Amino acid sequence: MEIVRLIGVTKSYTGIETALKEVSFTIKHGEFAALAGPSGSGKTTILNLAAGLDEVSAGKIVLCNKDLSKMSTADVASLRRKMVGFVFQAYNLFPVLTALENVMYPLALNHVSPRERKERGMAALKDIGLEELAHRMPKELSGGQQQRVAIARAIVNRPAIVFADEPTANVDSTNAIKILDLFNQLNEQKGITFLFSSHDPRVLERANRILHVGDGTVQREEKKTPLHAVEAIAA
Amino acid sequence: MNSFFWKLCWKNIWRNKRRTFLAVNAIAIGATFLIYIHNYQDALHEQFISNAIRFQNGHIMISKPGFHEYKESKRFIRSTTRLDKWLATNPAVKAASPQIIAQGLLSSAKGGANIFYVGIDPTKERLTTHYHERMVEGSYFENLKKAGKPIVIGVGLKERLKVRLGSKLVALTQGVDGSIGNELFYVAGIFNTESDLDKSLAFIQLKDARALLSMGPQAIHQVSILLKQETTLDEVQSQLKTTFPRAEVMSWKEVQKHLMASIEVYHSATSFFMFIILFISAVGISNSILMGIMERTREFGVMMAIGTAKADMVRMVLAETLLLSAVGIFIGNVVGLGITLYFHYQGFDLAWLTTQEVRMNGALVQTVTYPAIHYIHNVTITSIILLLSLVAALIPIQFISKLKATTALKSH
Repeated sequence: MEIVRLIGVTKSYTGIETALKEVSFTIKHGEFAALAGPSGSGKTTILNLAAGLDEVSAGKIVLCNKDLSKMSTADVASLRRKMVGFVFQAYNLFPVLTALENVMYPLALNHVSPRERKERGMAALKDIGLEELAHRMPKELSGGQQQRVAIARAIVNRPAIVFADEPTANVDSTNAIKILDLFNQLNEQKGITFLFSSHDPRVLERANRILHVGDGTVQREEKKTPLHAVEAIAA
Repeated sequence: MNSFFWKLCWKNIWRNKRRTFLAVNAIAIGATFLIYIHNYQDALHEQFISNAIRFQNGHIMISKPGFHEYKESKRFIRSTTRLDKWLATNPAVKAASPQIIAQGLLSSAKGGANIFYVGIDPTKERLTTHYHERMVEGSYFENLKKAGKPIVIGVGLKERLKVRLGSKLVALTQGVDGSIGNELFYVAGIFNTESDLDKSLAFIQLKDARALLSMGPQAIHQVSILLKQETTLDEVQSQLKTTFPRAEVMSWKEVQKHLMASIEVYHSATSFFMFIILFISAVGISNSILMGIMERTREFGVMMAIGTAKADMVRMVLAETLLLSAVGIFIGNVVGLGITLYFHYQGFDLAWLTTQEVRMNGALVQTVTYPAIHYIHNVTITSIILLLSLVAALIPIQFISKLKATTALKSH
């Protein structure tokens, strides 16, 4: 089942050269895919367009069987609310909300009852191993813990896909590995599809499909058995 | 918007406590001042109006057309039998007093003055005006033992004519038939209203006034009517106009045009101050909310990425604005009402601001005022500030409406 399909997507900004040129690819359900490439290659632009945060200049994007170009801004926001999770490089938790409240935010957006919000929020925090820190404020958490809370926020709505923009760029090696393990676990156990943008070799090692982006195009595609799967077979 | 977002909005407005404190203060001080000043002004105006009603006109005056304007003696009513019956059976009427009014000369052995004679029925007059309560010497036509025609004058006139109780005065005026009328009176009482009326009015009894002016046994110039409730003024005036179409029926507002104009000027000045104060409050609110939002631009980008619709973000901005205003309004209402209540009982003395007597429409304005407590001002001012808050939110809302998720996510 296709989750995202980009068909000849071009993005150009006024007065600036074209950021993306006729990019086409498909992400299927259960994939653990990565967009690899140097800074400024267009990875974040692809993620933003695929999630409907920005509009294409040409081409078409189909997200969860919906053509984004034919939808209103409000409908795209609604689709994102229900089907998409987002993880950012800089965590981006709401500083006035506790860890649990941050996780409950997408549920509140979807009008989930307060009781269910709390139950599902706590369950998501348990999945990432931070249920004991549920009532801490973001500033009371380490960078790695904040990023894990951000992951809980991204998955609490049981999305079809999680877009992650450089998710390990701001954390140390130990936390980066913990986060990647968590992504793998969510992908395998809960069937959540992931699309990363990263130039971190640790992330790319884990991906089972890598789209190499450069100069605004997908230059080549690499399909491989992820490292954790190899390790599992070896064991 | 559910409780989760109200809670988020509440937390958001307290992110920058100093800025919020300043904005809340602007609203609270504005609301406090406006609530107090409106109640104070109401009390002051009530004092003016009460003076006008209880010392001059009653609520309604009925006379021959043109009498009020020209005060010509010949414009008199021959008989008030029908009017008396109508007034006696109207439940809105508290009291009515027939009056004869004539301009003339009043002389003593030591001086003279051009004054207005007011012929009255003392029993009825004391039900409509308050002169009997302001007697400082003698009586208001009570227990008259001395033979002759009594006259009650003000302290101003007493000083001018250099008379005392029992002194003889000669009244001179033109009768309704064109003849010159003169009568000898003795001073039976002296009143003090602390107004110009003390220098210009002299009360005599109706029968003596009729004799002085050569009027018939039932003739009068006007009837001064006091109502049980001011609210029935328009209704009773309208009924009187319909029932007595040939008479001139004037409300105290029409008679006291200068007073009403002065009150209007006061209201306009207060409205102008209110506009300035509310404008400052609105700028404070708008600035506080806009700054708060601009500092959170990146968060709005995250919100959009997570799936928050623009409409929801606009609702949040509105909610934050309303919450901020509500805090200021609450404090302003509590403090404003508290100050009003305190001075309502203790009195607010402006004597330290004045170097001389202040008179309004000839009446001395008391420097101590006891502000009224009209809760309607709390409701009105609260509503205006809330409405203004929504207007003040337009600039932040415009900022949010134009915000693009990708741009917002890039901001720091």
